Amino acid sequence: MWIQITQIYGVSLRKLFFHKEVLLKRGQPTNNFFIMLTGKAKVLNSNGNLTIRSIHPGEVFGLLDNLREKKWKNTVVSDNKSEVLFIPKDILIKNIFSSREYTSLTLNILKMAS
Amino acid sequence: MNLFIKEPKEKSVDNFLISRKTIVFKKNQVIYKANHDIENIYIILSGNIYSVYDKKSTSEKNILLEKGSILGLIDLILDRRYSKFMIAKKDSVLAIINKNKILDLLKPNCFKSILLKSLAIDVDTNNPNLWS
Repeated sequence: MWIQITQIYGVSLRKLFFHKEVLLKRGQPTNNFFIMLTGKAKVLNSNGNLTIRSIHPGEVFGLLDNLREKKWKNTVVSDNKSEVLFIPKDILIKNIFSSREYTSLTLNILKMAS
Repeated sequence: MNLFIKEPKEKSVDNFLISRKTIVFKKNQVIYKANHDIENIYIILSGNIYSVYDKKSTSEKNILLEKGSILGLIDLILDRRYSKFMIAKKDSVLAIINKNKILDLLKPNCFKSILLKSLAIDVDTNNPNLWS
């Protein structure tokens, strides 16, 4: 899927991370989200000492945070070697608010999360 | 079982979530049951609906839904059966939207659809007691 995305949007944000390297840092602005391509990442609690969730290949991380939060609530680190495709928030906004239908569905889903 | 269903004289073209097909449910009547196949989603136009996770669960776990709430949307987007029981707390009027109206938008391998589904997964994962 990332190839399709890079072809469509001309973005090339595929990144490799080493073990324990930070993908997203708590407190940083939520200006992108990512798709896990290979490997695994861990979402840490607010203290950074416990794993609250793992992210596996094919999973998307950060959509809800991009739409609701200005800053990341949790730090995400690579677990061993991993490969990630970052997608800018602009692309998310342009796509899910691209039509009246998608806007309506998105807002109704967000309403459930509130 | 249901009191009446009004069929539209013409299709609504203004907004795809607007439906002129409505249905009235009497107090304590079941709108749908968990684990049943999805045929429609519903929007509450008036009245109140209880979202019940498990009929054996305590009443504190039930969510009371009000006008404007959509029933079954997350279940449909996530391609699963209804996950909750929906029961009318009092006489309620619901708009009916056929599932195909939503599914037509969610094309496989479409980036927008993948984003929307991923968002639904996020919301569903982060809100375990969601009314779905």
